Amino acid sequence: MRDALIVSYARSGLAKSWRGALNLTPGATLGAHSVKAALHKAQLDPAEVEDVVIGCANPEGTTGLNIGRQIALAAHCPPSVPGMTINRFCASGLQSIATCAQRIQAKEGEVFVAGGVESISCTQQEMNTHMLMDPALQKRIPAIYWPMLNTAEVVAQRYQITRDRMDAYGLLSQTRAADAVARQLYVDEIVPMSVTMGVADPKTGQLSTQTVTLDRDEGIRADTTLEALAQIKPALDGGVIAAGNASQFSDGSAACVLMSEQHAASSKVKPLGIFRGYAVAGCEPDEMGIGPVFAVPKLLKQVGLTVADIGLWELNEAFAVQVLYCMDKLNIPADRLNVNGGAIAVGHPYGVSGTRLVGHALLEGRRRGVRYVVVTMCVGGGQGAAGCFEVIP
Amino acid sequence: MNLLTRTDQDHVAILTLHHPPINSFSLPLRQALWQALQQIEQDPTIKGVVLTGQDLFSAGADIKEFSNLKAEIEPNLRTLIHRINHYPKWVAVAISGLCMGGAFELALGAHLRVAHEACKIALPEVKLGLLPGAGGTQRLPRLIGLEAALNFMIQGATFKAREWQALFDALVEDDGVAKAVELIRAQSAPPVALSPKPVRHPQAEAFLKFAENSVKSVAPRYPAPLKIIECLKIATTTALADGLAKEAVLFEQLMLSPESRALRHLFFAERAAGKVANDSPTLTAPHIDSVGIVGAGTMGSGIAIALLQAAIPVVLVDQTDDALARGRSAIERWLSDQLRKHKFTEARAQQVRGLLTLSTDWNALQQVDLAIEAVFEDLAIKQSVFEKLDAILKPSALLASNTSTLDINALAAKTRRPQQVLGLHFFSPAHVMKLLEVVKTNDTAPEVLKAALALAKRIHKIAVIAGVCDGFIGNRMVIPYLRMAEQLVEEGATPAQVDSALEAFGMVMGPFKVADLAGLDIGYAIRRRLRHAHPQLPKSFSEALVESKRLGQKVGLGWYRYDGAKRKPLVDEAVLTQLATWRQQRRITPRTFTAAEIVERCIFALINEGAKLLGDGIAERASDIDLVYIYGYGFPPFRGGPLYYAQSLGSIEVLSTLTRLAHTVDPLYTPAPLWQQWSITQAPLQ
Repeated sequence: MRDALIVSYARSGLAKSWRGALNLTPGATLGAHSVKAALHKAQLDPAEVEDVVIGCANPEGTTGLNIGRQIALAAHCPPSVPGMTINRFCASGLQSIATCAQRIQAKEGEVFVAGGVESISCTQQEMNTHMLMDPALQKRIPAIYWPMLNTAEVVAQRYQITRDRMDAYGLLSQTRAADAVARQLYVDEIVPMSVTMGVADPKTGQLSTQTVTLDRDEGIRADTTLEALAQIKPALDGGVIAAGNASQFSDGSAACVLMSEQHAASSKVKPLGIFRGYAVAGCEPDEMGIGPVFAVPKLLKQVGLTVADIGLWELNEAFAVQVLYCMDKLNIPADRLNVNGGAIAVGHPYGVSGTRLVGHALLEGRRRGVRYVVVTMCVGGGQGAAGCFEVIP
Repeated sequence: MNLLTRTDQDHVAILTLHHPPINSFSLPLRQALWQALQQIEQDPTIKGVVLTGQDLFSAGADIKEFSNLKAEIEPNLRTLIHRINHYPKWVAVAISGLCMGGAFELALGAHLRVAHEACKIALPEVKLGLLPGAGGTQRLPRLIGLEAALNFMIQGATFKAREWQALFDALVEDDGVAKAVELIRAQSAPPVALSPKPVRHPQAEAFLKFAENSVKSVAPRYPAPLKIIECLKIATTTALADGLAKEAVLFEQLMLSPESRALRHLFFAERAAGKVANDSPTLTAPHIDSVGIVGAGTMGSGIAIALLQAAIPVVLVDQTDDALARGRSAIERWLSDQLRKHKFTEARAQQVRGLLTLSTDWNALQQVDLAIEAVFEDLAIKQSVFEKLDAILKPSALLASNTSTLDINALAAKTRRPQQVLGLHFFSPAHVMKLLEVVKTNDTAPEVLKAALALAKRIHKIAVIAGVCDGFIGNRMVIPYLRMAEQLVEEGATPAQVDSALEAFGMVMGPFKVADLAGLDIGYAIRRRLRHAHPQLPKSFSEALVESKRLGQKVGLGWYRYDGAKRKPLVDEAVLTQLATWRQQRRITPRTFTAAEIVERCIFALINEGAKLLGDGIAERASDIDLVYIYGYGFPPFRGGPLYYAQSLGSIEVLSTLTRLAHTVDPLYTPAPLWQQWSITQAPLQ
């Protein structure tokens, strides 16, 4: 079996949903920004791309129809380059990488683009809810239709994780992210994007459009304190999950170029890493946050590694509560986990996060000189997904 | 006099509106204009028409016609504007003074627009829960673009013509008629109607959804702004004729909405409130050109600011230089805020300073037309102030108390001018809160009330007349409301639950947050006084709070706790513990309450007391009570005020709920006689 290599990675800044820079940006434009940038970094002629595979967790409205194909065309790939959309909720952007890598391994092609796009601003409140729930399934497994927030409350209760611990983790995420920004660690991956955004003047209430450049993650707050986090009202009455210990709604896009080892050898660009394996596992929908606890052991067994062999972990911060539980359960050392902050600080555009975490883990892994990195996340509906990559130093 | 006069000049017909006071486009005026247009069309000597008003153009449609359905009788405003837009000869409007609502929509249909640069223009329909339904939502974006049109309509704000130059062919400094005639004479081709093509915008769909989300988050209970956005969306997708038809349908929907009905009720309530009962032109009110205020505390300096804002000279008097210095610094703080927000120029600020006199010598009050006392809320102190003022003031001067509860008859009795004594109950902060209760004593002369109402209008207050009783209108009603809120807490609810239930109903702030803001010592003093008259009155939990030094926000502890300088109420476990103990001692088994139960108990306490005081003659009219609650107590405007809200529920609901609550909760719910009468006659409360 031949190796599949990640050759380049690029993303947009992550913008706060509804209030942020991407609140009016159409899905194809948003996705194409990262695809174009990743192709440019890989110094590739777009015509060479075998397929463009885009993850998206709300694949409707502006990211609807087959947004993958639209993104390929919007990124100026010739019509001969196909495109597809892939959805495994929050693992979509990791799934797109895994799918492309596996197809390279299966010799279906030499060059693929994998990525993710999400516009929570423009889709989440406009969902097509016609016949959304199947009454028969709902009766048997109601939690399959629960909001993620409720599943996080279940994890907190069932595994006795306190609000204090969660807030402390939220603070850690913000502090690490702010520190990473100060050390310019995100500069390598964010490609500035000029967009038109909708702006509401807080004083006059005037609504207008403005042209702005998004060149950073909008959710990071260097001035976060534990006292401030503790004062945030829980999202549910009497609950423990609050804005400071949960991921932020954000919009954005990310993309990677993948190549076969043969093709990469002829490329002028130095690859970032090698795809080593991918696993998914199911769990109870009402505690979907603990999915990584099942996916990670499966992955490690497949690739023949142990927790100690992994030099860097990116465990998506959907909620602090599930990060803490998974970290405890999997014995992940805190100093190897989400070292530059995570979705609580930088934001979580569902379908994008998987791609972002792979790209970031490879860049940070190279900086730290580690060999293996694992990217894992919980997935709505009760799943975990995990991917293992070898860093090219 | 004709509603419309025609004078011809250089082959241009000048049509002038004469429909005082505001040239509303009621049916007769529309008919007159229609006929004039028919005649002029047949007149080969006439090249075009200038439509103008005399001192002002027009405030738009006649709102009364919305209720009696005359607004729809042809030629309705939509038909008239369509006729103007497609008229074969040039039609220009020459607007000055003000041009609002339907009149502004008419101007949008004209081929040429000339305006006095300071002419007030607005589409204020949204404030009545409506949308501009005579083509405004379709024509305005075609003239100034989507985003500008949205901002013009969505808040119903009033602008000056000069702020919207793109709308006008010429801005002038006179009535604009000459310029309009000149423009028509300069035309060489026939007029062209507005382009029917959809409005273009690069991201219309996304921008309008963003606007919808923004509006929903700011004012979730009001449907009109969302319908305006819907109309704009239509304007971007369909041709003008289709858009106009759809706009009319959406307008009708809003017209029937409970929110618009409530807002229109309040519009008429405000108009009615400014009138003295049995007013006549012979009733001449004394002019109030200067005001003295005794007491430079929060209330006194707030009242001073309210007056200074309207350029009324103020003499502020207090006992000590220290007290005066505090008053002055409060006024200076307000002035620097105005400067910082660019609301005042330095010259204006200087002018305001010039209007203010501060003195520890009461003789400075000798020449004022009105003196308002704002000293400590104590009958004996206020009586002595009144005696002293009566001796100093000129004989024609009026004498007012800012008391919120005391018997003003007892104050008037200390003077030789009881017919010139009244209450002016401002709400804190006095320069911000719109409400003013004008309290009449047994002797207050109608001229004096009229003068007070005129003053209120000058300082932009909504004034209502109240009779003397404990608490007048507002505070008399708030007492049972607060008592029932407190009883809910004593029986098992938490303060935060009660507040959030009432806030979800629409109250700006729940009762316990209000109590913390006002200070719990106020209610404590009232309760003390009540106990004097009713010694068997049991101790309330709020009294226990006061006795444990929880006086409200000012000390950082009340029903909630407050973190340092922040005003955000935080749930305090200590209060909940104290409550639990308090219940235990009284053997109360705490129970839970739904939000609906909480709202029912509190709001029906308000509703019933309102009807009682109306029956007692404390308020002049039911709608005055609604205004008091909207402007003084944060009752939601979309529900129209407590008495309007009760009537919107229907007599069956009101009577059965009150009767049930009277049996199960407290006798104060025993239906007021007025509610019983209403259930029989079904005639709205007057």
